[in-house]
Amino acid sequence: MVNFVMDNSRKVVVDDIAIEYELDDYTEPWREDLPETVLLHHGYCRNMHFWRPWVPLLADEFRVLRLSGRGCGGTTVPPQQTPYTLERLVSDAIGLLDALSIRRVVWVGESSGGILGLATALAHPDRISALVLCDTPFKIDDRVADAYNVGEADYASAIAKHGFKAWCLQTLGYRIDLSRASSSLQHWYVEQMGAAPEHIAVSHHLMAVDVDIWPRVGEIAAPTLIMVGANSKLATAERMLAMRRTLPAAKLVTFAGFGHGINLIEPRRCVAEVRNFLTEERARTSGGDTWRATPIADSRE
Amino acid sequence: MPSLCVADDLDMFYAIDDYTDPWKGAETILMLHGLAESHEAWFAWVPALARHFRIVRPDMRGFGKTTAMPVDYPWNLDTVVDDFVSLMDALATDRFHVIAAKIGGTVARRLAARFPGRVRTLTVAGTPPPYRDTVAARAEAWSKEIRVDGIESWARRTMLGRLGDKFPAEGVAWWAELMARTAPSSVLGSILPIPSTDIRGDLAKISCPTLVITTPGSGLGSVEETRSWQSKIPDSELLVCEGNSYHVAASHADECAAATLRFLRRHPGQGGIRSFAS
Repeated sequence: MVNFVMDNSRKVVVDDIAIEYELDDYTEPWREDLPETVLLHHGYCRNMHFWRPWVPLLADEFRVLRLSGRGCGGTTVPPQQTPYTLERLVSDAIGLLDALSIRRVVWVGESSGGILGLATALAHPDRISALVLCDTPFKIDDRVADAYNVGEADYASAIAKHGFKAWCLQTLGYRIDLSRASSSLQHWYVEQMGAAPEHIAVSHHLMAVDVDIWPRVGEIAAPTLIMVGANSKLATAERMLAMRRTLPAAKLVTFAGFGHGINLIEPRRCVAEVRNFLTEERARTSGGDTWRATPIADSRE
Repeated sequence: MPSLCVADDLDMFYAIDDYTDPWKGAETILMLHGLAESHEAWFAWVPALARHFRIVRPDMRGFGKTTAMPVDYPWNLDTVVDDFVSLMDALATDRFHVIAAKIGGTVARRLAARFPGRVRTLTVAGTPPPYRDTVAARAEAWSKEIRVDGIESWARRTMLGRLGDKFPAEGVAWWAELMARTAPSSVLGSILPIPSTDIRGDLAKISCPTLVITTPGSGLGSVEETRSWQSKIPDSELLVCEGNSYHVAASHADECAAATLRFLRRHPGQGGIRSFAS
């Protein structure tokens, strides 16, 4: 019996790893200009399959690029001692864009995938035409870091003692709104995320706790859409508001009544917000002007 | 993208478009293209359908990236049907919806008649009547033209009838290039035996809900002519899109896909969703 192939993901070698990716394009093949590319970047220890629901909702108008980050999904797991830094993750993504000859993308990141987008916009502003941050905490706060240690002395000990998959299940409520996610979604989430190797989980966590992008957020000129579930324990309401005020050109959309993980729980509404935002941006920049920082109205349900 | 050996002489290429929630089950759609095309013919349908259904888009025997057939290959409609059924067996998919265009619709009607237990619904867009006595003369003329001028020239010359007079010129060029990538031996060998197969006896055996799509100006027949064979399919309905193209799945892709999605939603699968090996 041959298994049903769930995806046709491809790989491209960038430096020391082979990156698993998919570039979906269902736009008219005879169009004159290449359509814009939307890059979808997953968060902590997740993979490109977390974006499956989004692809057909974007693919009539945009090329859609998904990848699995270093050590995640089908992408190469680097050896234990390999440095795991934000700069490294940024250069992996840029390396993929170079390999695919893609100059600029709309970067959509969920959770820490948004932090990576902010870092990419700082390091390579010419490669990011717009940013969408979905439930993105720009810093892991001490309270969450403590909770993630699940009573152990530190994170590495917590993972070593419990195993990563069990830890994922224990802390799942930080990542997805348990009151709204079906049990099959919760199970799938833990199976997918829990498959990440422990040393990747620990390295990524230590990096996320260590990195603080906040002091430089004000330098990011790319128009930015911030979407957040109002009850997210990671991307808290006051932090999102601070982010919106500090980013020179940001719009904040709050999903009232939702916790973390709106990208999986409300894909249709999320994509509608993204498309609406990009349409507004196009209208703003039409006439050939470069994008100017003008006030953008927030929306709240 | 994958391929599977579905018969001794055939590696069948297929694309999978699956953007359903991976934590849920989903029904599957098999999409069958026409002569001298490939799975690429369906690109515009995918965003509309693939959020709700797993889509399998194979390249038919002889076409696209599936094994080409020699010019003297003994084409038979039932072999082509068997190829697709073997593919769905290999993909562990017991029941599925079928969406087909042009000669794919002839294959699909035979498939639905022979395997009523496997086809949940049938949608045929821009497909020939079940029997035409003009096929032999046309096939002879087209074969001569393809041998002398090549497939692209033939495809380009006949594209007005396929796509109608409202289709953009760049789109016409793309479709001609798609068809031109076909192995000439596969077209020359199949152009008579497949379209000339008489499937009139199959219509009454199609037991699944069926949607037939055409245009008033279709070169495959008037709306009344189409209705006359559509009405012989017991649980069937006819949708007429405005225009004079016969390849309505291509010329009216968005409209057809939206109508097909509505049709599929009115006929949800019964008995639950088969679980896939994973």
